[in-house]
Amino acid sequence: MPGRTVELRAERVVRVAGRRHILRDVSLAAASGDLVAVLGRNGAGKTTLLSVLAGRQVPDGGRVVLTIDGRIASGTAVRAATAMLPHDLLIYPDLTARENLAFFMTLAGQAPDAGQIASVLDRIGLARDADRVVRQFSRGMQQRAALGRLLVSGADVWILDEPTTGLDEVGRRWLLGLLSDQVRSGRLVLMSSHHPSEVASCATRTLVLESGRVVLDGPGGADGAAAAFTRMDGGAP
Amino acid sequence: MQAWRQFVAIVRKDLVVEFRTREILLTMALFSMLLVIVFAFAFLSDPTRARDYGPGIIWVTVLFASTIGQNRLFDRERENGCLWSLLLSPTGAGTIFLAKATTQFLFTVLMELPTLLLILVFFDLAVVRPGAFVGALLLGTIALSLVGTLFSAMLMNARMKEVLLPLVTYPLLVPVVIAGVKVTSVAVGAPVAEDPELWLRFLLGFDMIFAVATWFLFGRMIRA
Repeated sequence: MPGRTVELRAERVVRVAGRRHILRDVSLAAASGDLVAVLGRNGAGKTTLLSVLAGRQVPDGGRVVLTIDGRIASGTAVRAATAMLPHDLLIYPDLTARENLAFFMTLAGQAPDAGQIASVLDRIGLARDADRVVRQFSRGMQQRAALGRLLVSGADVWILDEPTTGLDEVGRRWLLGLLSDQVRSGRLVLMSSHHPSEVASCATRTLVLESGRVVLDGPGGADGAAAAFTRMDGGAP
Repeated sequence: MQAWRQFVAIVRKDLVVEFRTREILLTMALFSMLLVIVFAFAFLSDPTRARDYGPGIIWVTVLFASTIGQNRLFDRERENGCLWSLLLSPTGAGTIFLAKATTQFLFTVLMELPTLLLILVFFDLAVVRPGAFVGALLLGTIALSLVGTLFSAMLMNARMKEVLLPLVTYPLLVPVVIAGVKVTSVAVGAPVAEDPELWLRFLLGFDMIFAVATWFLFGRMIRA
């Protein structure tokens, strides 16, 4: 619900799989208006960190705190304020795009609004394909439908794991523009990425993970992205 | 009101997907009809005893066919990781459970209607106490749906879930089947000295206890 101020804090988060530490004492704080790019090589812990922040995985140590207008949220309030777009798109392939959006709008606690759904379908570029089942969509179109799920959710915090996967160049630019719009309207966005240009164009902060540790928490923009990718390449930060 | 809307949305979504794909209902109905035909060939040599074994055939068919539905109940949630879209939404785990159990109940009832008709016709059974007959089937189907939904969710990602699900649920459901057979026997006029009301009360008690227990356990099990 844009208009509220949210802050998401991870405090010394640890996540262990078997004997392997996926996340080691990861701390970060981000607030409304931030677009945090989570960077790192394959296996650095990006997906796990985003999953923990979204509540999809429970940390083995430390904690994640979401505050809304200065008050700590819990349970249903956290789930209502947070929306995630992981690799598996979390949309029903045998429903149409329109049905998916109406369904997720209801799950988010809102009465389905045909006008709002039509407007979101238009915004994600699926107005003409709104009544086709998602299974018939290309990967890029499915990605757009999944982004529609976030748009109808009304969530304050968007967490996206490599959201440009499957999108063509036009789609990629559209998505980055959409995310920038969301940040300007007061949402907090966290996304993982492997592309310097994406980070340079829209991130307000960069966070570099290496073997489950935060090794750089720096600014966004072109300079921030350059520093982050230099750090990932093993050069001087 | 919000929970009710979410409940209706989940049930409607399952029904829309099912009527679009016809994966669960068709399989359940075909399997149950096949079972009835096999039973008919096995037992019709002595039609005078149809009232004795008819109730057992009804309940074995309902139990086996409902297991097929239970095995596939969460398949839609598994694809594309959709279970997480439910669990990460503000919808309560209890609402999700009740919606999925209701879907399973509706699928089972839809499978039962043609199957029962087939059994009554094939075995020439007359229902002399329709209230007890319908009551036993409804209460029994609720029990099958509650227990089946809970364990179907629990075993959703298990290897060999088709084998594990009946192994886990059947021991719990044996009392339901026994009670169902007892009431149905009386309902079709079999010469048995049973009090159907006692068994119906047992089924009602089973449903009430398991409704609370499964509703309570679902949230913990599904997140684990």
